[in-house]
Amino acid sequence: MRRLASAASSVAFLTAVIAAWWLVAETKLINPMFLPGPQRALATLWGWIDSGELWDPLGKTVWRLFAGWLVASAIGIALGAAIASSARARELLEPTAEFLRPLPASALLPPAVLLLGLTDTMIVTVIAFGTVWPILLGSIHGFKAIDPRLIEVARMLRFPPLARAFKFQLPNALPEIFAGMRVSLALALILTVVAEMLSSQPGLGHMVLVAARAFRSADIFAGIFVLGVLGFLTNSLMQYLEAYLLRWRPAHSEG
Amino acid sequence: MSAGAPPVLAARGVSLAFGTPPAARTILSDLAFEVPEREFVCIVGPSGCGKTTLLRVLAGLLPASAGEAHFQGRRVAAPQPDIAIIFQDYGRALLPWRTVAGNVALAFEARGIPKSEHAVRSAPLLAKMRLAEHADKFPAELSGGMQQRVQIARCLAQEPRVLLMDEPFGALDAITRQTLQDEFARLCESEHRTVLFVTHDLEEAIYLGDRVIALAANPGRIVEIIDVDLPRPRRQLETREDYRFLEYRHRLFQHLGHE
Repeated sequence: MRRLASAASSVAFLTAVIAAWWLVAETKLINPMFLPGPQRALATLWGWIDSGELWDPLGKTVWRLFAGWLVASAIGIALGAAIASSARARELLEPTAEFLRPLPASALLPPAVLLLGLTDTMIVTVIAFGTVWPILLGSIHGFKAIDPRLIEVARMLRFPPLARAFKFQLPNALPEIFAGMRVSLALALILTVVAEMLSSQPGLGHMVLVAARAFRSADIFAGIFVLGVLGFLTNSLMQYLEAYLLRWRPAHSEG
Repeated sequence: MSAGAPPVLAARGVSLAFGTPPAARTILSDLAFEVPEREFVCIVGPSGCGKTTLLRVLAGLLPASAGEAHFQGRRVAAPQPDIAIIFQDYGRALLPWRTVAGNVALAFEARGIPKSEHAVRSAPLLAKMRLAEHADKFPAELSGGMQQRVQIARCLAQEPRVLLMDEPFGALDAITRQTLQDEFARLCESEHRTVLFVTHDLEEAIYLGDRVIALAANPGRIVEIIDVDLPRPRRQLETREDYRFLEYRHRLFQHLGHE
């Protein structure tokens, strides 16, 4: 009952925002050249879907987004495990990581373009670089935070280090890794769009940029709407996955 | 009890000190005793007498400063497949992300038993520990008593020659504790298990043990060893009212003081 009520109120709020948008556009409070009404944006979007124009850039954006994010996840988890379990790895890697971490990933686009050219590899690399940090931090912390009792259980059963990592430490770190991956997913969408805009590679970001240069405001809003839906869906997917994979957690510590 | 064969488990002058000489603190002082095959030996002592530490030395988790722990005549320098330990804090000793069956299977994985055999092998253990219908539940969904049964099942799945138990029922409520005591005692009787059981509860030690070793604290040392001459199976009311039970209790109580 409470869930139903909260769902109803969030839908009501969204409707109110769209209604306000519509009202502002309809009363021409803002020049319609800059702000199209929701009906115009949606009509444009429908046109893209109808003509099939949308699928190619959407597909490319989604591919880059997930490729970059998954590469970041693999690197972040592995490096985090290494840093958490070996003092030598920590000494070796941590100073470099501390230097690279505060760099805005978008600042790395120009050198990435120089080194890798205007390619998908370049975009995926930049996304992976920019989104690896929350996953790395989650992984380090998650791997470190294992209960010493569980390590004793592993010792009593004489699991070799690799089995210990996969059977004990990785699942133990999973909640923290997922928290990092969720933050990174949102970052990845931002970086994908920025990289596409700066590198003129076909994709949703590029579509929005081209529309802006041509003053096609309905296209801009349609593109942004698609990006919003994409962000919402990927985040929901991640939440669903998390809820399933972490279903062993006691109810009170969820969320 | 076979004369001649080495005891399953033995402490040979085990001492343990933490810290460096001037500021060293002696935890265990020259402990010597044996756990013969098929015997249920209890170690009882006040908190701080080092009984958990002793168990960790015997398990191979902690090296002794002097003396040696022996398993079947050989020195225990590291954990061994034939020695299983059941920890008091069952909540921390289970893998929370694995189901009951998954936690038991951990011991099979450690022994390199193929996955296809896990279900067949764990079924009788789960039945024995009354966990059969909870096989697919996660630890967080179980009561404390059930969680401890899972840990016991996992240790049995290891098929060890000796069970080390560190106050396994200490964190449970009185009723659950008695139930588990009886279930566990029956199991050890019928399977002739060799057990070293640590507790701070005198009555639990006498009730379960064939022998009770009493430790005193600061430093941890043996003050008395009692051979418990009480009929088995033991019963919560009759056994605890037996005059010999009361006599043992009286003797041990003097050593351990009041808690």
